[in-house]
Amino acid sequence: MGISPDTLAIVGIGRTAQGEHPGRTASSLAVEALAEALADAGITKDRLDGLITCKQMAGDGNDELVATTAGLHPKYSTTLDYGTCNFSLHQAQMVLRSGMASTIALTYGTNQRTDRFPFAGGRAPGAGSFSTPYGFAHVAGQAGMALQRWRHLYGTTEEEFAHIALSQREWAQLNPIALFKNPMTMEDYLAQPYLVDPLRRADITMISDGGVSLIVTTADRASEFTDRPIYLAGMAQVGATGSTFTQDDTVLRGWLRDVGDRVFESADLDRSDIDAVYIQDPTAVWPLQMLAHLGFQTPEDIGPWLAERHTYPGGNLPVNTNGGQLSEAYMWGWLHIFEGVQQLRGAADQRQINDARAVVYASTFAFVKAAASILVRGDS
Amino acid sequence: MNADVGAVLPNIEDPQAAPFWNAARQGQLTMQRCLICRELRWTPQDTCPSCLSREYEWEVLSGKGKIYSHCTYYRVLNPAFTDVPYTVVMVELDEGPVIIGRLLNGPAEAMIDERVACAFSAISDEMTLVNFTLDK
Repeated sequence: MGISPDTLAIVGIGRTAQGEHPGRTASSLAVEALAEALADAGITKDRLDGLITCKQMAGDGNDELVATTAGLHPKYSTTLDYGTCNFSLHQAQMVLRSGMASTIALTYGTNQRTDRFPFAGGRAPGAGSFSTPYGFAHVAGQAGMALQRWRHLYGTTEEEFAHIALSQREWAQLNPIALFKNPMTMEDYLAQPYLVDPLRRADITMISDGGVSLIVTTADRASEFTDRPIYLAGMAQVGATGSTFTQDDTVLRGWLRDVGDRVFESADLDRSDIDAVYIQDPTAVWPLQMLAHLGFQTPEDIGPWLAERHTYPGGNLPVNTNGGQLSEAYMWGWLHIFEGVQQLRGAADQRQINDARAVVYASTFAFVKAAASILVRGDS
Repeated sequence: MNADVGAVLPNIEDPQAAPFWNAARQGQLTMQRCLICRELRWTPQDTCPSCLSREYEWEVLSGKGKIYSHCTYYRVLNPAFTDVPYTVVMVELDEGPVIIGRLLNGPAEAMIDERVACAFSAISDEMTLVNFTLDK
């Protein structure tokens, strides 16, 4: 499989406490996580020569601000305005291969909960100005449209769909840092009122504050940092595919199939080689769509398959073993990567999957960009 | 719709959007058609996403189509829209494009593939929204 001397290796991971951090800025939280990641990698910040930051939705967290806060003077730095960590990892791999930097910190921090960022928005620019005036606000509306259409085409039932939120809650109960750990049964789920029909509260992400950071370097340097490097064995993206929420492919996101095919091809792995799946989940509709589009099930079969509990603890294809954004914390997908690394290191405690060798992580930015990564441990 | 909906209303002076909102005020649904490749596009922009031409005309559409998908808000997620429950539909117009508006019949009537027609809802002297009702 494709691990070469210049393959990206994750050698340090760090995170803050999750939840509420009143009075803190996004950059402060990003740097707190960075300090944890440096400690995990066994290095000081002087060793860093690259920095790739991710802004929070509200805009704070660019590379100038994070570098100033952390007293960094990298040879290379940049900022991505879309989160999920996948895009950041791929950017880092390209920087490592270019030789512009050799030891890079990736950061994300957010204070969107205590700062009360208005996710449902005010006046919308551009295409949004033709939907927001009708009250079509918040990702729950778009996801609700997508689920309604999906169910019409493929027959997924309400109870089958519930297993996304229910299985992630069960995983979260094994995760000490998860914010939503109360037990939730199918009856509890169905008893919840609709937030936006067909979605309930349990199907929508929480909003929380926190930070996450990774330290990455090349495979040939990894042993200088750790005896458990985790490698980026495959990556794929699709760029912006259209900016308006008015196209079949934007709602159903069939273009994710191409990302799925290419990420497995780039890692020279099959779906059957994957031990756990991570899917960034602003709503439960994303895992539903992406499990199908990544090629694990057909759209028609995924509903009954979810009801067979494959994604739960003890199942044969665990999904979002951290609890995801529905139950752990809202780190825009960054904690999914953190958890994938923990699993591959064999350090996931009660959540540990037996002999985890390879995981896939898929994410999207709004409805128009997607990325996927396959992470493996060294001996896989 | 509520009194403070003004906080989220679009800028109807925008040169790309103004012709659409002006036509809506007169009870017409219009979209831009490229004069070079003849592609009908939505939402408004000055460049054709198909052939990159900036030559276009505004075309009056039938205002009829079928429900592509729908969702119903039961929780107030934006303070400008407290009149829950309300149903938003995506409508696939007979001419092709998909457009978003409210279904004025309400949640119980929302069904994918149901035929609908534009219903023009004036909310002020300047602003008329393009909603939908069942077309039976």
